[in-house]
Amino acid sequence: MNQLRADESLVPVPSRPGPTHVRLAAGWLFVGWIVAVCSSYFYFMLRSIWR
Amino acid sequence: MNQLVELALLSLIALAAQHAGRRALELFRVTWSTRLGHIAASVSLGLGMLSYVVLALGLTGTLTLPAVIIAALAWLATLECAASWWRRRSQVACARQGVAETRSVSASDSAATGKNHVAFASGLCRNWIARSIRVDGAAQVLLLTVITLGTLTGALAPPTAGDAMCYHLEIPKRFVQLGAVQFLALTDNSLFPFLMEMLYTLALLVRGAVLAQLLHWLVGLLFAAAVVELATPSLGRAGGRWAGLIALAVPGVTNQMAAPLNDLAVALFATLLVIAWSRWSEVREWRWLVLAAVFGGFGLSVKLVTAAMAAIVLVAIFAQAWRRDGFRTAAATASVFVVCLVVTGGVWYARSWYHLGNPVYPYFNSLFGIAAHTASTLRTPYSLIEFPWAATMHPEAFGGRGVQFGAAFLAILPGLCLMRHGATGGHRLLWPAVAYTLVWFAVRQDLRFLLPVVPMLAIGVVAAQRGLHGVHRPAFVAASAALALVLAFQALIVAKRSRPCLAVAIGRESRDEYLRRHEPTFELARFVNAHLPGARLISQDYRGFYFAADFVREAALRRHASYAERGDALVDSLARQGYTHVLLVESFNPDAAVYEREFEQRLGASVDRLPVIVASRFSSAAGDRRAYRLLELPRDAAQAGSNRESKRVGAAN
Repeated sequence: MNQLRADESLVPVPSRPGPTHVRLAAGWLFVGWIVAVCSSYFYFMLRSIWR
Repeated sequence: MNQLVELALLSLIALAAQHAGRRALELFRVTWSTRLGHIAASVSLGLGMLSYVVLALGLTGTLTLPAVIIAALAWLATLECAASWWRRRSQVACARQGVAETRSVSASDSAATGKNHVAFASGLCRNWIARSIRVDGAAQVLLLTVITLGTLTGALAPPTAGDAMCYHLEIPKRFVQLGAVQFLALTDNSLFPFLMEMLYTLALLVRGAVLAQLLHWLVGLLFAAAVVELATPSLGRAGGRWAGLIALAVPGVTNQMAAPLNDLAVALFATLLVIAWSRWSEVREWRWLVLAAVFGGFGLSVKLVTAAMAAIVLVAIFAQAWRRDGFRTAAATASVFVVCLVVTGGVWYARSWYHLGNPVYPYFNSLFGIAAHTASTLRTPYSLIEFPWAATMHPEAFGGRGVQFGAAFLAILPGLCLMRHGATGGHRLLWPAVAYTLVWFAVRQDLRFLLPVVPMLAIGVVAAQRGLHGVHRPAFVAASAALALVLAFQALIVAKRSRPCLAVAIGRESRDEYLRRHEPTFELARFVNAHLPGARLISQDYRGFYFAADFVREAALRRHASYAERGDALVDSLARQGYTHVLLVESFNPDAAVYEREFEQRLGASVDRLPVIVASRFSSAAGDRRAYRLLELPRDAAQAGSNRESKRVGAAN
């Protein structure tokens, strides 16, 4: 256990420094990326299963 | 009943390996962050050592079941003696220094060390029940249950994977038949690094092919446990468990767990190598360095691709030691690492060099003055920027849908860019993954060979998903939902793959019946085994495992000794060399199999003059359609050849 450096409650989550609106825009861009990747992935996988 | 016996034998092998590995780890006196990590390290170490016991027996030509049992018991007793001597020595040293004995593992982990297996198992059950009450824990337990049982169902069905039929099981079968580990000139693979195949040899000696397959399934579970160990220091216990589950749920991992191949063993030993190197980076103790090299050497004993990870770790060790202690210490440290790596993993390459002059045959033959016949590199048309998207959406170009990585990594890992560098544990381990991926991209773009980076990517995914909570709440929700969706889909893939195996796994269908429907060569092999016991086949197909007779691939024969004969001359030549039958195959579905036609073309019209002993057609529910013809070679040509040979010998005498 002495190797355990961080408990889950200790995982730090600080944001990148910078203007709030830039972080907000980056966050929403990331949401769009997730939607694009997941929808494309399921489209290609389900298409290959049905074909 | 068969299944229970095989599971019992698997448990016995795993327990023996865990016992031996634990004793060996006591000599290193290292501590692990988690119980799962200790189990993964000790069982892996034990399995690695066990494979060397089998190799030693094989090289000395004493590969029989009684010899293996005696050697394994002697090996366990030796380790037991060494560990107890080491313990006494440590106690004496501690008593002299007046300090308490330093234990190899912390007190809280004593159950995990196997001192009390019952206590550990009941603790694990209690933990599971308590954990499954929470939503987070319930999801983990459900996912783990579906994946474990689904892959176990696949692993309990008789093996039919192409590479296993060709060499992962075929060569061990030959070793068992010969009672020795030998260079088989008429195969391309008998000089490969064969750590897993030595375990498969043991499985074939003890029981059969399903036990071999179960060993690779066990390696998959050990891999997930090793990921938990790697992730826990930076992500905590819950995060570590999620990282392990994400790695375990990768379709490429679950697919391999139901086949007797060796890519999961590469991923397992590469992960243990990275764990030991990470610990060395923190404490700079020699024991971690040596352990890292041992795991790296075992990885090299499984497959050459581990060399990429070992080289990256070597560079890192050298740079870290140079920055802290100067060049001389760095050189000494790197030398120790390399020597231990070569000692534990070099024997396979030395063997190949001795027999063929190329330590990594059949790759890079031209570097060693041998005719090249296998592409040493495998490249897709995609660029470095395009490949993450292409490999996720179109894995067919990177080795097939069966070895895909899923969408979680591509979707969520970019979220790390929204966090400060070093804010989470996700960044720290990503650079070895990036370095390995660059090597993989430059040399061999098959997703199977990229499995060693899955642990680091899984850690990155958990770090990104958790880190987003305090950065951008909608992104956190989107990442969590995407992860849940992808994991659920991957669990469904496991369930779908295991469905055809369920009846045979629970004993409702016989193994012969299952093989008749799933293995193209099975019917033919059964005929040859029953009616042509002394046959020697020269085959266009590579699936030789179910043939008890001598089975030689024509492509391998041509590579071993290229010949110019065609038509009747080729038929006579094959008969004179002792082949009794020709096996020809035609595939009607290029998605299932593609065979080179050169053998048929070389035989030409002579094929039509050879008597057909049996013709069979195979058709599977997956759309695989093949036609086989077994043709008899003329016995008079073989007789004439043997008479000529006798006369030559007589004349020489």
